[in-house]
Amino acid sequence: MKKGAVKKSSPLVLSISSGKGGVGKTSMAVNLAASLAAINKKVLLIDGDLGLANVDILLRLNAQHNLQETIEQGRNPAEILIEIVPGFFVLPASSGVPEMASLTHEEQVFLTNALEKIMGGFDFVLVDTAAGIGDSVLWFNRWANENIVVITPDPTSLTDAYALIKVLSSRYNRRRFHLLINSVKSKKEGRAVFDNMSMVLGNFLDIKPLFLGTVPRDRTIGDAIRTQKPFVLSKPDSRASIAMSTMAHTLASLGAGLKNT
Amino acid sequence: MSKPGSKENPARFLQSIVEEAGALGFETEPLKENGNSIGLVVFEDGLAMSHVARLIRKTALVLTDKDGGDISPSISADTCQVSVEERAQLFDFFAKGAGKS
Repeated sequence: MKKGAVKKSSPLVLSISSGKGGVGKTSMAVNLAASLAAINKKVLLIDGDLGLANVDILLRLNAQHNLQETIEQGRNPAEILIEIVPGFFVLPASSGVPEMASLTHEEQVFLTNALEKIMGGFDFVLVDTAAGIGDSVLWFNRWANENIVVITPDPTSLTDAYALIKVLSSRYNRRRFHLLINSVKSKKEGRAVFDNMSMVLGNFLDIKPLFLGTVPRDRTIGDAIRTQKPFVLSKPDSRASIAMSTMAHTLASLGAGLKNT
Repeated sequence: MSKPGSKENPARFLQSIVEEAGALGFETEPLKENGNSIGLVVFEDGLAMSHVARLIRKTALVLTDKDGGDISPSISADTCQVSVEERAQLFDFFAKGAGKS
């Protein structure tokens, strides 16, 4: 799939990355997918952390098959799909398999072709990538139509997210980044984090990021991780769930806008 | 590495590399002299041309060094390295205490 080319019958492919690990990327991906499904969008969430998968853990899945079998044995990804709630499907990956973290070019092409065969019926495809700026992270980000970067208000998160954006923009000409600011004390703090990052990206990389939204520091999120259930399903009225719903509507509008262009 | 016939027919050899690279997801750029291709630069498909150009400049410096020429200190600079200035602006946010509720 060529960058930015969204056919009317194609889903909008969104990568979700962060640079730094532990900023809530997988939690955001799972709950964003569930929120999109809640507004009647058909969503596929791919666990793009091919060597250290976590999506299945946050959803308490006992996956019998995963993407490793697609890559190594040619198993059709359609046989691996797991439906979480109506409209929300997951493609789980393997955990503790180091060789899956760095696929060869041939394996990447094979996986891309296999995934694109099952994507047609979806409105959105979300890819929860690994942390860092390794090959698979850069590859999934290039494959996606749009790139979401999750950051938190701390120096390590900001630096690693900036480094990821710098690599993607310098090496691959990616210019559109949606920033999701997680774990903020207030909307004001989240907006200030975005404005600061936006200023630095503009000053040095001539990039103007897009504001996707903020998610409050909320006990609901930690509880949901421990109980292995998306907080938008277990606590739909929580502040974090409302924030996810707002972002899902933003992405739905984005998807509709891109398909009409 | 040598391919059969590469010495006898350089153009055919280079063309075979171009085709093989294309099939494997790589792009190529010929090195030309007097209108004739005398070599190839092979690089990963999808890289920004500006980035490829930077890498070629770095490679040129390496070749210059091997040839006994002067080498620029900038050769060791990684263009994606987050600079001191970039970090300072990223962290300026915390120094100001902005956004505290």
